[in-house]
Amino acid sequence: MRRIALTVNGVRREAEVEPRLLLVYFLRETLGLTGTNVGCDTSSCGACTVMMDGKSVKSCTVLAVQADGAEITTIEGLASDGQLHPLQESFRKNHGLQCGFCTPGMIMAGLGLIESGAGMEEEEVRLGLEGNLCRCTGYQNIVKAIQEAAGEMRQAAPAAAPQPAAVQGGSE
Amino acid sequence: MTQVAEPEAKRWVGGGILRKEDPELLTGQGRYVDDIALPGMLWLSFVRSPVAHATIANLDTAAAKELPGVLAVFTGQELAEEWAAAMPCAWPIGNRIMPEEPTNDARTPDHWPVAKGRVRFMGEIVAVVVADSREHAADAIEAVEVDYDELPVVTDMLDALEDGSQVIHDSLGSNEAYTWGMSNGDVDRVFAEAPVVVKERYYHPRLIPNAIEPRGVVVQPIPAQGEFTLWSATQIPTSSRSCWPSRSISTRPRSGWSPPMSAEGSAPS
Repeated sequence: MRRIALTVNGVRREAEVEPRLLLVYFLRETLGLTGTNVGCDTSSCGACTVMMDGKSVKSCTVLAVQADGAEITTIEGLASDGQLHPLQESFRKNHGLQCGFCTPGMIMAGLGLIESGAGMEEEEVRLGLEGNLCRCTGYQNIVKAIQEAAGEMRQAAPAAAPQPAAVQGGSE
Repeated sequence: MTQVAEPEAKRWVGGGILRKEDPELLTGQGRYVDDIALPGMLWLSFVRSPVAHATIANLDTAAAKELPGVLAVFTGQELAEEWAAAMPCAWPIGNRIMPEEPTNDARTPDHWPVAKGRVRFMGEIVAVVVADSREHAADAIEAVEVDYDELPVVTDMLDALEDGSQVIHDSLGSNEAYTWGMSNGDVDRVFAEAPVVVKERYYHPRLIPNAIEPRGVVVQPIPAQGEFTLWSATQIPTSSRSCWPSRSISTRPRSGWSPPMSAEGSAPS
């Protein structure tokens, strides 16, 4: 067993974990944050995407011990004071979800993409989401939702605005 | 030009109505089968056949039973006495789907939850592990040893109907499940009078529902009542329920637990 300490959605958490425990199961089963879903366990589907130190990662491919000392944000950490995050609001308005299973991962991957300063043309967003699968076939509205939220978020916080627009090949 | 007030109906039809279920799905409050954790919950894992057709020459579960956290390992032979009957077919062709045009020759082979001595498709379950955690259950299936004596496989529908083709279910004598003729109106007359007749053979692909939410089931036995509550990641809860022993299931849709969400589709039937 290894002792880890990390910050999850702004709260410091400590735990003894098995070295083989995956970050996603630490979040879901140790902390009870079941908003992050497991779709494939093999890095294929992206349903488990969370933010780790400002970058989107697939939490089924990160060991909990690797997240020692990290800052993690999950889907539960986005809304505040009863207000949806602009990405959540945009997914809702643009009907970027049906069953909702891929949605937490899509939103976190979208957040990673926006915060990376990547370009937000349709092709760029689609490429940026290549690591996230939706099985209700809703990519059209997911892309629209992320583009719209990006406009709003970058206007609100111009400091985080575009660095040279290297297109990101999916979440890490 | 006169201004006409927008018709009331526009608010609904074509109006882009926000969905009521979205806030919980968008904030990580969705509740899927994998989110259900019950006190003392045990995990099942399955040893599955890597080959399409074989007799099971040897099946050794002794090493798996010794692993930490493993409560039991069962083979099909060991469970056979527990089963009153083979699993029902949820969609028997004819009497349910097309009541006016039943097939009289539909034959449904026995389908057991765990293979008994012979596997007939790749992925068929050959042993079941019961353990105290997801990880222990996954570890234990690695320790089950199975030897398969492979038999000829049939991978093409038309080949399967040829004389001399490998018969998969001996009790049926052939691989034909049914012939299902469908017609509507005076078909012969329509063809006879048609200016052009096109004759073609069409093939329907195998249908593989592949929702992003993995298949999962949670069962809570309630021995004192002789009942159990079952949560299933299925699109067809009522059809599924009709396949279970009806007196021993309680779905309790709104008391205690809410029914879990399902990624398989959005129209429960």
